[in-house]
Amino acid sequence: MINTAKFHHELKKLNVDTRNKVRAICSSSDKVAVKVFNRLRKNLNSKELFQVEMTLSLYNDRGKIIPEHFPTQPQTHENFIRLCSLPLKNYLQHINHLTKHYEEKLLIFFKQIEELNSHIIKQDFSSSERLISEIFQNYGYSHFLLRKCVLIKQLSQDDTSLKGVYNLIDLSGGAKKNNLIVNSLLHCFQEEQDYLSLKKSIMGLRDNGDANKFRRDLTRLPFHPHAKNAEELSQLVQSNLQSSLIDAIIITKINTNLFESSDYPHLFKINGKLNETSPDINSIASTVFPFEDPEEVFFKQSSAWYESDEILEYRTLPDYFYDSPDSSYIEYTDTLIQKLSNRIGCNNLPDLVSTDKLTSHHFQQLHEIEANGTITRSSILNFLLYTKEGNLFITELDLFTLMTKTSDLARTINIQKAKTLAAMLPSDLSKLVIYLLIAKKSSNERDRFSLRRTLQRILINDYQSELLSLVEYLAENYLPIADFIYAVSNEAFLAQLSHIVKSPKQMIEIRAELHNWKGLQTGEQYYINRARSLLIDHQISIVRGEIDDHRIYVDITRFSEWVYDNMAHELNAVLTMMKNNNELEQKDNPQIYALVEKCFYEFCTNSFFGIASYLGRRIRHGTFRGHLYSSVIKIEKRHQKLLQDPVMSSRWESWKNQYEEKVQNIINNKLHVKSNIMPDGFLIPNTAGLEKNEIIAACVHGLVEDFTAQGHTHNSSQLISEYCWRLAEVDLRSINSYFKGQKTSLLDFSELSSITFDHDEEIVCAGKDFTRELHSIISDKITSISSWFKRPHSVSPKISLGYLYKAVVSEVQQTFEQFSPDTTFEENKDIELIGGAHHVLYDALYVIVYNAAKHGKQNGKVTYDYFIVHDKDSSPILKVIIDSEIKDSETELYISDRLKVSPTGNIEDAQVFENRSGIKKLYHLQKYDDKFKINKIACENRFVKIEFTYSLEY
Amino acid sequence: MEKLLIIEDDEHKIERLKTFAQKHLPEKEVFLATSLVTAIENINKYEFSLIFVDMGIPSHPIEAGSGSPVSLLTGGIEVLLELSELQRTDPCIIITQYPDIEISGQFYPLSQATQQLYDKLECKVETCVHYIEDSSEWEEELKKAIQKI
Repeated sequence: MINTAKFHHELKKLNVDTRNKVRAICSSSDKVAVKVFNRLRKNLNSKELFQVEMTLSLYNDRGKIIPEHFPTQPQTHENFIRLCSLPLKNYLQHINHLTKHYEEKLLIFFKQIEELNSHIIKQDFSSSERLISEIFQNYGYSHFLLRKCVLIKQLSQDDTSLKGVYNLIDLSGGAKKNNLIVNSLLHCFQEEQDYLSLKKSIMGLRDNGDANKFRRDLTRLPFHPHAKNAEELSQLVQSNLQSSLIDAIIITKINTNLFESSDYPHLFKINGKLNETSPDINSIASTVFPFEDPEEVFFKQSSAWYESDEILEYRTLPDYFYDSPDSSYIEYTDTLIQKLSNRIGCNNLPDLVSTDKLTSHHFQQLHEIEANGTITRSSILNFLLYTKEGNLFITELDLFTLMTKTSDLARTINIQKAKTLAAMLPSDLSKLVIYLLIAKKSSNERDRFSLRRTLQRILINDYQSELLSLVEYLAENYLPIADFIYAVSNEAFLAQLSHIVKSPKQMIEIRAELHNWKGLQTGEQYYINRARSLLIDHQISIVRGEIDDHRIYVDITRFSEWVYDNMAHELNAVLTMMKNNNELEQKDNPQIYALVEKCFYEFCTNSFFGIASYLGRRIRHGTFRGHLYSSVIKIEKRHQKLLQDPVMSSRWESWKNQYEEKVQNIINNKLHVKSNIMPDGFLIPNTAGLEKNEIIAACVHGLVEDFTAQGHTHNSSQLISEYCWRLAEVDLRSINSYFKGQKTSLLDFSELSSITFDHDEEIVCAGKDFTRELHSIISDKITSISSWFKRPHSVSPKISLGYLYKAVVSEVQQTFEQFSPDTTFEENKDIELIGGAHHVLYDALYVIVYNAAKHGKQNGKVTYDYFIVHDKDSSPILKVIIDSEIKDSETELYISDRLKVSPTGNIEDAQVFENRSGIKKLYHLQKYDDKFKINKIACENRFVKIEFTYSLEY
Repeated sequence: MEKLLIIEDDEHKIERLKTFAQKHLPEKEVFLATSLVTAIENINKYEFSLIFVDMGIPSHPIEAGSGSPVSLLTGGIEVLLELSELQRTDPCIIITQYPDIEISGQFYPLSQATQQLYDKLECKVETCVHYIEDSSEWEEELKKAIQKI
């Protein structure tokens, strides 16, 4: 409905020309109206623009163009048609005019904000909540008010009785609706969230132009509200004006460095008044003392206090120096550096380690927070590196101590300046610390080489080439450095320590040692299980005696970085939404499916770290053809006499051409990632198909379960990469089947063999030998090529139950040399299991086989059987049955008695008293792994019969 | 006797390179490294008058029952860096089957790779040769490069 009278009343206040244009805007289509309005805005002064907006705002149909100054509804969507950006001056004049027009209203609003702030400081959340509702009713929505709501939510530790707070959050579109603006704010304020990853993800949101400009500008407010220049500030002001007038005022307050405040006196005055609503920073700081890391929480939540000049002063340092210096939105201007130089209280690294006054203000509580936290100290380190060009000095001891008082340097350090610092440091261990920081961030091979080189030098000179010894030494006093080495030392890193890691076996052993160390240090069983799985895997590979020449690979370090940068935030948002909607128990969510699918696509197609890069560089270009064609046709050198026969020679040439065409056809069409251009590519970078559907469902469930258990998504990258391998393996199996299928075609010698009909015997015999040899060569080549298309064991363990038994028997034989049960099995009937069941099955088998070897009949019969039981209503179950003959001298009754263990009795001592054997251990396994179940332990017909099951995911 | 090191894991390419060496560099004793670790060992043991470097190599030799080596797409660069660290000037020629080389997270065509390796990593190589199976063009290119050394 249009209030016609009021509309005409306002319209008359405009001059005739403008009036006509406003009429044109009202009567035109959206497209024309926006065009006319854009032109008009450029030429109007602030007073006229204000009047035009007032008039147009009364005309409902133009509601998509003119946002409200005090919006009655939350503005968290792209509700408005984005107008052309104006010069900053125009916006500031406009806001200056608006602040004058609304001065009285704003000042009363500020009084209420002051009162609200006072309640928050006193932790009086009920009063805060009531006031929030009142402010929203009287002054409308603003991102500013939303930030206060989220702050109260966090400080009250999610007190859901604060209805006013939750209502505004819900009304704004979060946390149950997964609105980006609201959810990114919620995540930003949360204690357990990885702030830098979140910031990177938000600041790197895909630029869809005007279509998501408002969303991009609003989501960045809690992370980096600083504009780089006047042009960027214009855009930010425009977006914030769309959110509310108070948001526009605040964004100008934050960025006063980009304009002359005195040119906009009303705005300047209002900003001053706004500052007066804020409590002093000491009081704000005191609200976070109860948290485990007060500075981290204080920093994350500080955007709730943007009205405070002191908070803005505080934030400038970490906003610019607790972030990657390469970020496109960061620019170190002289003014900025000067401003920060005045604030920072120490000028060199030794002071940075020892001082309790890192900054030069007089707020005691803030000093305390800064000194005990890591953010300000890390920021100052980065600042000093930048301003001193890395020309700093620090002793080894001080550097180590500094590493325990800083955080996230690997993501925030300036690589070039850090290199200068490394060159000036006195010891190899000091250099190692700096190279560790550099190498994680740098894509330069020399930086990573320097790290490996220095590490190896230290290990060879001082630690008998043992990485674990160095890690243990560092962990005694400088745990963060030890942890960092652990994190960096994955298989790919260890593989390149060529001076000390001389074989894949050694690589696995070192990694397992490090996992064990981590497990003992954190008390988390996961790491110890991982170590055991690695070693069991390796033991199986020894038993198998196969050549592991896989050429399909993924650079997991880079893939994980990609997942963190591109998926972590979204995944977090969806899981948090599920949590808020009590949907975690359902475990299913289409958005998580979509995210995993995106990850899998990247896992397959990325040309730097994905399978595509290895497929192209390690297989398609040259190697494959060399293997299957060039080395095959070399046979002609050994059969020159036969090939001198003119008929044979021409048939050989013809066969060769056809064969080459077939090989080339595989290279050109099959050895690719499937796409529109390569429709026959074997690797399909999506999750279509029943088998892949089951895997992705298991992945989604795994992610939800992990989030439910841990409350964060830190393990998600590891889980996703594990399942991506499982997905890829579906296609790897299919290409291997394809190769087998191609054998018939590649081994078609009918043309060559037909020579036998019309030639003398010598040629016929030579021809037969020739085709026989050719057959054998091609068959061998296809077999070895098949081994290229397997996933590497080291990145994602998988076990063959046949080989697992062999490996267990082999280990038991180290104690009981005479023990030699039949371990042969039919490979085509074997079962391979993927995932973390390794150690449980190994342990169970070990207990049973060890018992059989120790207590059973010498040279008696031991049988091992396993199969999968499918049930419609539940997940499949692996059933394992082992029977072992008892000694002739013992009775079944006696053995039955010995096998008796009360499952409900004390089994905690199973690992302690029975050394490496004992039925109790099986019950122990059952107690601590709900997937493992003992079905039977009995002695019947002169055999100990043990049957257990293990529940599988799919 | 002057020494030639061939760093390569593709058996067919190895044979072609060995044949090339027998024909054009008969005075050189040929050493073979099929993995990064063996290449590094060789470099630390001997000085070479020429090194043929492949980019994609496994970390360790592939042996039955010894587990999986890691596939290194830029393993050749590790060798160049090791030489640079040792302040060695053994002439290196990259012989790769892929038309681009990844240097510091970016792909460069072979024509630019020599310069980029120097600019970005301070690694000196004589040239980069594109090895194409069943073609002899690379041999000509390689011959020319060797003559210039």
